Amino acid sequence: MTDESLTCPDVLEKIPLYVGDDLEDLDRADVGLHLSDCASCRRELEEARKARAAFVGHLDRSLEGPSSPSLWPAVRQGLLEEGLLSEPRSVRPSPGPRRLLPLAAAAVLLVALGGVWDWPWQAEDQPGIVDSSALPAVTVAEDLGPVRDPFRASPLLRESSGLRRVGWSDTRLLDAAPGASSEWRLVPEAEVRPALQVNQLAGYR
Amino acid sequence: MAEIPAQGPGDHELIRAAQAGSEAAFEALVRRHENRALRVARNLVSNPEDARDLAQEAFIRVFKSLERFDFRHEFTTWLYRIVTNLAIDTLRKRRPQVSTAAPEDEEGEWELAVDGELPSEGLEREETVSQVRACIDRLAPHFRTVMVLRELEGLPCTEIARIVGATHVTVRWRLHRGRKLFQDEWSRMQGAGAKPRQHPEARSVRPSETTSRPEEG
Repeated sequence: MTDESLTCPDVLEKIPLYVGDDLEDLDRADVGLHLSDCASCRRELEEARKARAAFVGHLDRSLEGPSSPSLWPAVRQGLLEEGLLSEPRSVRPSPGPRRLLPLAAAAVLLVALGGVWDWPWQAEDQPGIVDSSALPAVTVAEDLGPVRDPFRASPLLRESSGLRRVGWSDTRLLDAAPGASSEWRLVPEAEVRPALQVNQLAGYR
Repeated sequence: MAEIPAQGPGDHELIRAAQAGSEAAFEALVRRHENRALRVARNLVSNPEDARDLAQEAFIRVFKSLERFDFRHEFTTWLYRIVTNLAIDTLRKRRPQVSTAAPEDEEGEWELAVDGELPSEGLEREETVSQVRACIDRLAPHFRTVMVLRELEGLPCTEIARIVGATHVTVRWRLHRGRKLFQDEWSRMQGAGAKPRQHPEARSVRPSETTSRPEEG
C-alpha cells in the first residue's frame, strides 16, 4: 500500500472496472497512483488485462458478408404469417405515369378494337345523361386520355386492373388519388360529346 | 448484407412513416439496423442460426410495438433491449445444459483457420477459443449482456442501464462482477500450474461472497 487513501484490497476491488476504463475520473487517478508504487497490484492488473483481452478477442465483431441475405425477407414473411402485413405492400407508392402505362395501353387497344367490331351491347347500352350528383365523387389525379368503358369490353381487364365502375360513359379514364380505386368519371352531356368525337376518330361508332 | 449507414430519413422519421403504414419505411429501418441486432445476438447466444432467428424475432416484435415507441429515446436503445431480452430468455432456457467442457457437437462452427498458421497453432487457437467460450457460457445472462454491450458495442453504462432496465449503479456492479467472474474462470482454465502468483490480498469471487450488491433495478 503506497497511497494513503486506497489500500490494496480497495484497489483490487476496483481493478475490474479500472481495466476497462470504467471508473470515475477521481477513482481512476487514485488507483493509478497506487499502482505506480505497488508491484503486487500491478500483477493483478496484468492478469485482469489478459482476461479482458481474451474476452474481447473472442467477441465476433464481423459483419455479415455482402452476399449474406438481409433479414428483411424473413422478417416480412414472419409479419405476413402473423397477419401483420398484407400482400401486396400495405402502402403503395403513388402511381406515376409509368406505372399506368400498361393500363393505358390496354385501354387504347380496346378503343381500337371498338372501331373494328360492333359490340352487341352498344345499341341498348349507349349512355344517357347520368345524374352525377347521385354518384360518389372521384378525386382525379391523372387523366389518361379518351377511352371506352373497358369493363364492357373485357371482364378480364376488370378483374385484373382493380378498377371499380361507378357509372359509365364515353369519357376519359381517370386515375383516382393514391390508395383509391380508379373510377370512371360521369360527366354532363356537354362533356360527353367531345369525348365521343375523339372516340369516333379512333373508330368508335 | 452490408451495413447501411444512417443516411436519408432519421430513425424517428422512419418510425413515424411506418406507424402511418409504410412498409418501405419499416424495411429501411430493418436494413439499417439488422447488422447491429445480429452482432449482439451472435455474441449472446453464440449459435449463428439461433442468433439469426432471434434478430428476426426482435424486428417482428419491434413492428408489433411500433405504436408504443417512445420518441424521447433512440430507436437503437429499444432495439438493443428487445434483442437482449430475447437472448436472456434463450440463455435461461438453455442454461442447464451449459458445461465448462468444449461442446463436441459444435466442432467446426468457428472459423479458426488462419492463412499461414501452422496446424499446431490452429489447434492451440481452437483450444483457446473453446476455453474462452466455456468461460462466457458460465456467466449468468445478465452479466453476459452487460459485458457484451459494453465491450462489443462500446456503450456507456448509462445507456446500458436504459437498455437493460436497471440503474447505472447496478450496471456497473454487473460489469465489475462479470469481469471478475470471467477472470477467475479463465485463470482456472489456464491451469493451476500456469497460474501466476496471486496478490496476498486478492480474493476470488464466490457465489456466497457479500460484495456490495446494489438493489437490482
